[in-house]
Amino acid sequence: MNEVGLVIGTRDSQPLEFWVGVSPQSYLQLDDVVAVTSQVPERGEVTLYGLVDDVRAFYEGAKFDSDVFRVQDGVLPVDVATVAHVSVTRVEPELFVPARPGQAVRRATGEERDRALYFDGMEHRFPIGLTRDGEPLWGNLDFLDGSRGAHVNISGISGVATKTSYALFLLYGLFHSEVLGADRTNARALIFNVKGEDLLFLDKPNARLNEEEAAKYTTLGLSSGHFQDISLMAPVSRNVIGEPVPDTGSRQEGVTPYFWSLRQFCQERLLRFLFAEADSESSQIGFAVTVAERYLERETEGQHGRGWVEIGGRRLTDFHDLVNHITENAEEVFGGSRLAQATQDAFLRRLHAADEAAGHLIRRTDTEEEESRYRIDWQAGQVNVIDIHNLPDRAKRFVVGVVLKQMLADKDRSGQRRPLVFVVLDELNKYAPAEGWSPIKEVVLDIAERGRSLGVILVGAQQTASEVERRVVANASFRVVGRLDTAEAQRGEYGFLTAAARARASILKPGHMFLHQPEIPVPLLVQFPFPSWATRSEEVAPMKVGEIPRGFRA
Amino acid sequence: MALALSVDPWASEYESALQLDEEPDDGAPDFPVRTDVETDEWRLMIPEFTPLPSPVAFIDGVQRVELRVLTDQEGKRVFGAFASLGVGTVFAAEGEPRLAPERPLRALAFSSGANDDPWIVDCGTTSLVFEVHSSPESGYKGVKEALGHHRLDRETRLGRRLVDEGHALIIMDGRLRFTPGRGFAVGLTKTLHYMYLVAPEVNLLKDVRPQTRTPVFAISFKDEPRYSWYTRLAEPRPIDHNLAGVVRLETMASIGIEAAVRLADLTTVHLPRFASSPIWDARAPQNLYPFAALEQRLRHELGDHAWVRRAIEAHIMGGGP
Repeated sequence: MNEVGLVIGTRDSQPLEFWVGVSPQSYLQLDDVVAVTSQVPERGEVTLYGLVDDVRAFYEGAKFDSDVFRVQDGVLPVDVATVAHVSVTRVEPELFVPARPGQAVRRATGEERDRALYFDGMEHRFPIGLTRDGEPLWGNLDFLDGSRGAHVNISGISGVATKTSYALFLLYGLFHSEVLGADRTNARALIFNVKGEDLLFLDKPNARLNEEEAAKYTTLGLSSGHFQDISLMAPVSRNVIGEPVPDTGSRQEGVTPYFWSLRQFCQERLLRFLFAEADSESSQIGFAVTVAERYLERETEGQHGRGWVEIGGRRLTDFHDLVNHITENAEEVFGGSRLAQATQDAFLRRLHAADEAAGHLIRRTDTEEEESRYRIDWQAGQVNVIDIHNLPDRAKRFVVGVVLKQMLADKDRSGQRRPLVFVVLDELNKYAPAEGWSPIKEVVLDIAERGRSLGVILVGAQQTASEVERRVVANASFRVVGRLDTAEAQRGEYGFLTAAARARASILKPGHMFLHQPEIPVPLLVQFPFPSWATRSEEVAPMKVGEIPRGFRA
Repeated sequence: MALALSVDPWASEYESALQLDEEPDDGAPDFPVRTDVETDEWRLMIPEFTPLPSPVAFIDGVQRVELRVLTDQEGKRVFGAFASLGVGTVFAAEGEPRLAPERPLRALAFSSGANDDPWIVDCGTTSLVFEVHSSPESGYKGVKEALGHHRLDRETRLGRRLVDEGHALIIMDGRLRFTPGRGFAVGLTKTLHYMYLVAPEVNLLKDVRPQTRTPVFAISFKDEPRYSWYTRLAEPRPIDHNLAGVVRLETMASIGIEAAVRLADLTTVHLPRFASSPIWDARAPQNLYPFAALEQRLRHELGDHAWVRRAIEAHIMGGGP
């Protein structure tokens, strides 16, 4: 037996926590999994499983802090005691008695470790990372795919918390293991790329992946490699005459530019997403938007087969034209709606601002084929990366809002939970802020609340959960934190962290997260391997001779 | 005019380290003191540095009366006490000194030569075996003597064993009670019951500073000739009396004067380092750190006093052994 120490009796042992005196011949470190079996009169054996979340060592017999120097001088003899605090994760059978002082505590390995962390009862499990000593850790798919829960929420400081990398690691595990079963090939991921061009290379192997990191994938039952079947979309470049090209710096090949045609904009009532900044619900602007949308829909009814619109006998070919038209014909647009002049003016001011920010994303097309080629198809590939990082905030909200709404409408129509759609959205605080109301917040909330039954799984991330709508965070079954700001870690949103985990969250290294899932009462520290797909152009392995670059394939 | 007072630095819950006006109980001179064994000239000795063997073993013991009892044996009133005793060693070396306590002992001590079988007392998760020890002395004095003998016997046995195991230097708390075959042992007396020196030699004591000593002189205790010397462990405060911090060390004369002088030099140079600070120990500096820490540990290992006492009472109430 793997004995590491004894339950101490100088501090109270309780059904959900106890202290272990660590034997001098052994050690316990944070996050170690242990088990202790006690005999309970009349009931027989009870085993408590738990996680070490605090370890302390001190001199016994010393009185003063300066005694350490007397000890080192060889003058004052003392004993060294090491104790570890264990938070109980599971009691088998469920008889909540304290571990008996004096009882031997053993390191839980193999099946016993799986029992301690409830892995034994997970029928469908997906990799969530590794312990610091390289043992695999699993999440229960039932709490992700909507059967018993859904959604992942990730918090952490930008740059060191590696939120997006972790979201991608989770997706990689889901798409490259058998856990999704027959649905695997049909499952989709919709990823909004909000920072840099990190996600434009998911389809390339990472040249900097070393053997040690690759072995971690093997431990998790995965092969290391790049994402398969990916579709990359980037906003169309501004001010380009002729063929639309994507507005990206580091990569152009294989990236589809996206925009919407004026006709789509009018007929699908996309105007509201240009007004997606948080507003108070009582604002009249929302009403003005609805009125204008109705006008545009009505006026362009029955126009199809081309990407421009005709309103009042005038041909409008780009968004600028449309804005001008509405401005000039405000009376006709708002006629009969009893909107105050001030509201109309406010609406127009914002419309002009929207033209600045997102006008280039709404333009003419000449054919229906072109119209559908350049609009975002959220299921073009298995992994659909939609780059929005270069767009102004207003345009980002527009793209996210339109795409999510369309995806939800498509899922609603199919009425099927499966295949699953995973939506990775960073900077949630922009789309579903804690305060105020906006059409896009409504869409995000809709996913958070109905996504479970629709099979739409939100993998949301933000720097600080406290700035995000409470219902969005509360609906996530999997809560993850990377490095947190010390003050932020003390907030109620992180109540799932133990006191020790809160303190550690402010020193977490990149690649390490605390993950809480419904079945396990304590958060697990997970490390996830270095991405085996490239995250920037320098990590792309040089192409092999004879390989046809993507985009040039038939 | 007000008297000029000087301070006795030991905490007042302890008796003073100076007991010179008391009747000497075990220090009576049965052998004339000779002060010319090391040098003809009686003067302050300032030894040169010599390295200390490593590790040095410090041996000490504690005893605690758990419960006093009375009985009659053959019509005589007999005094007794349930007591716990602990002896142990500290092995001091550079780095972390190591505590090595022996298992605690339980004794039922009687006066007037009374005798009985061991008492086995259930106490929580364990049971304690109180072996009977007695002294022919009557009254409570006999009980104390029986206990004292038992503890000193254990300390001496431990000291002998360590010598046999090849330890180079052993320092016993109190008098030295055995002759080491090989290796060296000294006894350190921190409470001065009897001043072996008389004027004019005794006047040198107030001039003894840390790392200096008196010359070695010859005494005898219980027919065994010994060599002894005085040194001071720490500089006294200006308000302390002029013998504060002075201790007497002794070793067996059988090791020869040269070896005794070497031991005297060695202990004079090195013991001040082990002297405890008054914020650490109530009997500083004489109660050296190793002794203080060892006593603390040994007392701890005796168990909780109230708990043991209650277990014994419950046992007696239940009808004895």
